[in-house]
Amino acid sequence: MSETGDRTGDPIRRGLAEPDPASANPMRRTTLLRLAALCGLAGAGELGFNVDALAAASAPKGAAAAPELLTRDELRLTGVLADLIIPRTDTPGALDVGAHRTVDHLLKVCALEPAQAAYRAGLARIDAAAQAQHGKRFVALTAARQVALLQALDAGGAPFAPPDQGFFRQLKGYVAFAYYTSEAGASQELAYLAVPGGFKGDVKVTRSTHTWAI
Amino acid sequence: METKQTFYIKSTPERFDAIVVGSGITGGWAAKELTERGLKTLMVERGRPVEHGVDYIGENRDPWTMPNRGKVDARVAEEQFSIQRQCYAFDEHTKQFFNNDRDMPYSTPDNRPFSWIRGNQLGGKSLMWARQSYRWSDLDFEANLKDGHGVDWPIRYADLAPWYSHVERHVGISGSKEGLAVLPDGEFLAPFEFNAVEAALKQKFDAKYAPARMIIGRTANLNTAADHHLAEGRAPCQARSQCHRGCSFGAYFSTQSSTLPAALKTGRLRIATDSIVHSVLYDPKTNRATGVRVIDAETMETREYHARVVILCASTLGSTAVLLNSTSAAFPNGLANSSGVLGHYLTDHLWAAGADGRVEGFEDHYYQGRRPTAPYIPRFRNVVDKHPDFVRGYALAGGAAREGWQSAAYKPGFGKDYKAMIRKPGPWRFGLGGQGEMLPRYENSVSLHPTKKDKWGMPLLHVDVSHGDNDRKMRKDMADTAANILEYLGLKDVKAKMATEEEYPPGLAIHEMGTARMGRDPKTSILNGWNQAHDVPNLFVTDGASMASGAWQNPSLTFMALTARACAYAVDQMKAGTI
Repeated sequence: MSETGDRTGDPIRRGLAEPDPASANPMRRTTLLRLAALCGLAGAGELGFNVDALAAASAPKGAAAAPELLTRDELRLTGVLADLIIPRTDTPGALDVGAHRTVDHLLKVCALEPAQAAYRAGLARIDAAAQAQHGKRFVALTAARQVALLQALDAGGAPFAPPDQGFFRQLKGYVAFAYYTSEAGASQELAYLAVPGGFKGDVKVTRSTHTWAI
Repeated sequence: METKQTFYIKSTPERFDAIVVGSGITGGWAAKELTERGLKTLMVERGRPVEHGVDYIGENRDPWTMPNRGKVDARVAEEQFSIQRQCYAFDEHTKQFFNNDRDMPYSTPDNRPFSWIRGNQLGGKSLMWARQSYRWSDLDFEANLKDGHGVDWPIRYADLAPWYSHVERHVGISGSKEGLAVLPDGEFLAPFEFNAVEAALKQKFDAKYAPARMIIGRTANLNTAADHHLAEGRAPCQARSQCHRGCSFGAYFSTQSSTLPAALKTGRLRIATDSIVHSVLYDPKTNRATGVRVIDAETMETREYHARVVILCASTLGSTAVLLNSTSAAFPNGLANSSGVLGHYLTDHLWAAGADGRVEGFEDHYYQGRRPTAPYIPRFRNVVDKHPDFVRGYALAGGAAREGWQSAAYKPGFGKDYKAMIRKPGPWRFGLGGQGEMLPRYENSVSLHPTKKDKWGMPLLHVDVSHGDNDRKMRKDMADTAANILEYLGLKDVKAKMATEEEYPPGLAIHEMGTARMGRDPKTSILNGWNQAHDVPNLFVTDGASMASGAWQNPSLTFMALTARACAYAVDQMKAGTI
C-alpha cells in the first residue's frame, strides 16, 4: 500500500477528513450526546467522539484528567489502539466509551506490577516497530500503516515476533472488557437484560439477534 | 414481626432453651425448627448483621456502575482476601460476604495448601452458596460399611427421607422427577429448561449410557414459586444468575430469605451478632453443656450465654474448632472427644477435572436469561459394575453456551469485522466437570495450632489435607471419562483438563465435611445417629462436621435434613426430660 503522507494519519484528522454519515441522523446524534454525558466526555460536538476522547487523552497537563497509571502518551496510544480494535460503526466504538481510560484505571487498580509492566512493554514494542519501519510513533502513522502494523502484530509476523501475539491478545482482552462492560457496549452493541424475568432454553436467532452482554 | 431492637441482643441474664452457634444454612434451619417447636432460642453469629435486601449492596448494579467493573482491587484482594479470591463467586459485587483472610488466618503445612472459603456474617455462606440440592441414597449411606473406608453411618436413607421432604417443601427446589435409584426424587418445583444443544446431547447421552442419565441440576431457586413461598414474601427466579450478590426477590434459599423470617415470626428467636464463640461451657457434675463463652468481635470483651441445649452449626471446621477449644479436666482434648477422632476424617469433594469442546451447528438457536443451574449427570461409577482403579464415584456437571465477548482476546483480527463477529452469538461450547467423593482418612485432619493465635486470641486452626491414591485415580477418571463422553457426543476440539492440587487446592469445592463424625460406636465417632454427642447428651453438631463420609452430591440439602431431624429429636428429648 502506498504511503499518502502522515497528515491524514492521526485519528483526529481522520475524523475530520471522513465525516460520519450517521451524524446527519438527529436521533443517533442525540443518543451519542447522551452517551457522551454518561461517559463524562465533555463537549461532544459535531465531530463525534473520537475527537473529544482523544483530545482529552492528549491534552496538555491540567486540561484533562491525568491518567492513573499510564503516561499521557501511553494513554493516547491505548486510545488509538482501542479505536482500531473496536471502531465506531452504527454503535459507539471503544474510544467513544472511554475504553482507554477504563483500561488505564483497571491496570492501576486491578492489576499487579507484572501485568502493568507487560502492558507498557507491549505498547513500547508497538511504538518501536513504528519507529523502525516508518521513523514515527504509532499514533503519528497513517491509518493504513497503523492497520498494517496491527495485522502483523495479530499474526506475530515481522516486524513483531510470535510472542508479541500474546500482548495483542492481552490488549484485545482489555479493550473488549472495557467496551463490552460499558453501557453502550453492553446495551447498544450487544444485548443487555439486567432482569430477564425467567429462563427460556431455546429462542430463535434472527438477523437482529445480538450476543448477550452478560 | 418484631423490630430489630427486640431480637438483636448483646449481654443478657436470660437462660435460653437452646443456643444455636452459626446462622448459615444449618444455623437458620436449627433456629426455625427449635423456635417453631416452642424453644426460646439464641442464635450466635461471629459476623455482622445482614438485612435481607437492604444489605445486598452488590445487587442491581450494572457493570458500568461498579468502580472496577466487577473486578476486585488487586492489592485489597492480595492483602485481605488471599484465599477467598480463589472462590468463583468472589468479585466486586460479593466480596463483603467473604471473610477477611488477614483477620482470620489459619495454618497449613508448607507443601499442602488448603483453601478455606468462609462467610462472616448473619446468613453465613447461605448468601453465596451454589444452591445445588440433592438427596443421598443408600448407595452413599452404606458405602462405609461395604468398602470399609470410614465408620458405618448410623442412619440410612429411610431415616432421612421424610426430613428431606420437610426441608425441600420450605426451601423450594426446582428439579425433575427421574426415578433414579442413585439420586432419589424429592418435592420439586418445575425444573429449569435445557437449551437446544443440551437437549440434543442429553438424548444422545441417555441412549448410549443408560442407566446413567443427563438431568437438569436440582437447585434451590424458585423457578416457580409455590403459594407458601409467595406468602413468605419470596418471588420467582428472574434468571439473573447473580444469586451470590444477594437476591431481594428471595428467589433462592438463604437464611435471610427463608429460615430466619420463619424463626423470627415465632417471637422466640434472639440473635447475638459479632459474637465469636470461644468455647462451649461444660459442667462436669451434670455432664451437660451449659452455654457458650463468646468474644465480642468489636470490643474483645468476653461474655457468656446459657441454655439447656447447644447446637453447633458453625460450619464444618468452625464447629470442630469450637469443640477443640472447649477443654476441661474431663475433656482435655476437646469437648465430647473421648474417642480422639475429633478433627479427623476431613473430606472435600474432588474437583477441577473434566473436559470441554466445541459443538457444531445449532447456529439458529440461542437462549434468553441466565439459568441458575446446569445439566448434571448423577453418579454412574461403581453403581453396577466395579471400577478396577477406585471405589466410590462422582457426578459430572456442565452445560452448553455460546461464546460471547469474553473470548474476544482469542479471536483473530480487529476492526469492524471483528466487532461485527462478536456482535453475533459465537460457536456453541459444551463441557463437563467432575465432583467426586474423597475417602475419609484419619490423617486428613484439623487441630489447634500450638502457638499461633488470631487477633481475638483464638488459636489458629491448622488444616492438613491431601488427596490419597483413590482420590487421585478418581480425578483422573473424571477428566478421561468426561473427554470420552464428549468425543462420543460428537464434539470437536475436545480437551481433557485436570488442575494440579497446587493449582486447585482441596477446600475449593467448598464441601468440607467430617471432623466430628457420626457413628454407631462412641469409641470411634463423636456423634450418634441423631447428631447428638455420644459424650455430652445436650450437645449437638448438625452441620458438615457430622458427616461420616462425603458422597458425591452437593451436601447442603443433607445438612438441612440432618439439622431439622436432630432439632426435632432434641426438643422431644427435652420434653421427655432426658436432656
